[in-house]
Amino acid sequence: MTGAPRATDARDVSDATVVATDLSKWFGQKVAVSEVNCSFGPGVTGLLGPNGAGKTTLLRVLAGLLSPSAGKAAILGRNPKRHHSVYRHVGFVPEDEAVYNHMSARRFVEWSAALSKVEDAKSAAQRALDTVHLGEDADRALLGFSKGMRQRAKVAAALVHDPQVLILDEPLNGTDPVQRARLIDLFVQLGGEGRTIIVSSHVLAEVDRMATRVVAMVNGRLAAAGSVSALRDAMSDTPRLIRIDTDRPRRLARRLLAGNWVESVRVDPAGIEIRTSDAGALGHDIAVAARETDSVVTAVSAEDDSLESVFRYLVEQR
Amino acid sequence: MRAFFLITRSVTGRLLGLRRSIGLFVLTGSIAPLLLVLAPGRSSEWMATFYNDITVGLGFSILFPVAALVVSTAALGEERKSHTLPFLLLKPVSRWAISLGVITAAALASFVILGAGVIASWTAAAVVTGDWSIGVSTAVAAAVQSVASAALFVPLGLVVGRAAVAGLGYLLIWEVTLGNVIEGIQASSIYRIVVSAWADLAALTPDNLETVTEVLGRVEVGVGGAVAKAAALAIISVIVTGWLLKHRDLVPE
Repeated sequence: MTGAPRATDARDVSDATVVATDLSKWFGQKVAVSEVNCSFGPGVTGLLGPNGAGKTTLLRVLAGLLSPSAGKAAILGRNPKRHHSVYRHVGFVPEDEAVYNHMSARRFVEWSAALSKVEDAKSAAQRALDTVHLGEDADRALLGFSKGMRQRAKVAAALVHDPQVLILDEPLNGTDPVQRARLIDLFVQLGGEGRTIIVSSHVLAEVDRMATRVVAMVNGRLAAAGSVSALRDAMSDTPRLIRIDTDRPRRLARRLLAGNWVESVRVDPAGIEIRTSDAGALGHDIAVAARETDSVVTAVSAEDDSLESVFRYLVEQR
Repeated sequence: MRAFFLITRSVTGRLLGLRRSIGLFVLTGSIAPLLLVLAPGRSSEWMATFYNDITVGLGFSILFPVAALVVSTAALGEERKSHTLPFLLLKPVSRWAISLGVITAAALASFVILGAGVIASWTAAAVVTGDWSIGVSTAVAAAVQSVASAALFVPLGLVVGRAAVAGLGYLLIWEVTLGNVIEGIQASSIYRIVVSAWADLAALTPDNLETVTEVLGRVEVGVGGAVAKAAALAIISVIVTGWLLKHRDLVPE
């Protein structure tokens, strides 16, 4: 039995706004995306994967910039390649740094608003620029902008028509820590408002901070989808590292070793680190063992519940 | 309609960037200094004949088409190369409106750049010949050139990586070389369409007439026919470009 989680997306499709069905995309002999089934709904979803995993290709197919070689992509129930009216509800931030250098930030965002059929494009542009903290630099030419400022201008252009779906391909590239934190807060806020926010990244810590759900890709395939903890739980036969803070670590460790779900134990003066193949069973046994050994347990935490560990695991499985 | 104007305006602005405009004006305006240098000691009739000959032999065959080629291939080619196409394509705008807007922008920008060169040579020719109507036909032909070139080279820029080089190959091999020896392809030659419009309006000397007849081959002189052909090319191009925008993958893997 393999420990890899099922490469399908278990999201309830009833609230899905962006759906990939048996989606494949190849360029000549090179398969960039292979038979991906996944869906995205309200909230922030992180699209994770190492460089070359197929994230950008998947986003471009979903957005209608590329035609699928097989399968289907749909936004709000429609194929964006055929029904361009759907773009009224979609904002897209491409991975590339390029912008229209001959325009000012304000003109770029106003132009995007006007083409997206926003009635008062000027006001909408001002709001979007203020949202990404570019209000003061709005009249400067994009040519003179730093990479981070260009990213924010692109985000403003994607937001200006108040879209229901935002597809963001590495939107934090080139931003400084303050800008990054602000953008993450913005995406979390937009997701909280019920919009579908898809953010691709290979920086796990960023996704960990903003996404409630992740879709992981490896080698063009969907490796996993779900909440971080659900993904971790799905890796049921992979030993998990659990830390127990207690006043009697040696006694408690000796007692817990009696359970056949404990693979190894490391004891330190403040507690125990246990590698277990069944975190659920261990969780139940901790309380019993603590009572039996008269130990006081002050904290129990999963040491490897981060996206980093999940992702490392997924890559190794592939 | 609003989208069409927005796209036309923004693409025209980009195509008329300062460096490109100056560079191409140097090309299209290069006939003017030649006229001024050659004028001393020569009759106005000789200068008028020379102006007409050099306009057909150098302006319409190389200078104007190359300038229009550079502008037109950049209209969508630059967007593709610089990865800005998503900003244009991911909008609730029909691909036909985008196609029409971009081709109109390419024709307008080409006409501005060719027009600047035409005005320079027109002014120089008028000064040395005393005939201020001498450049009217060239201006009309430049408009035909702009529309026809935009029609041909905007879609080329969308699908071919080195579209300017490919277009230059087309001009030199198809239009200039093969067009001179294969009569069957002359009717579809942009060079000859442009010259047929120009010849209908220009005051030609017998020497000029000989040159024009040699260039046109089986193509009839007539500004109406030339305008109709350029318009037909533009309509076909809007359809082809719209189809390409709708069906082709326009961003790299």
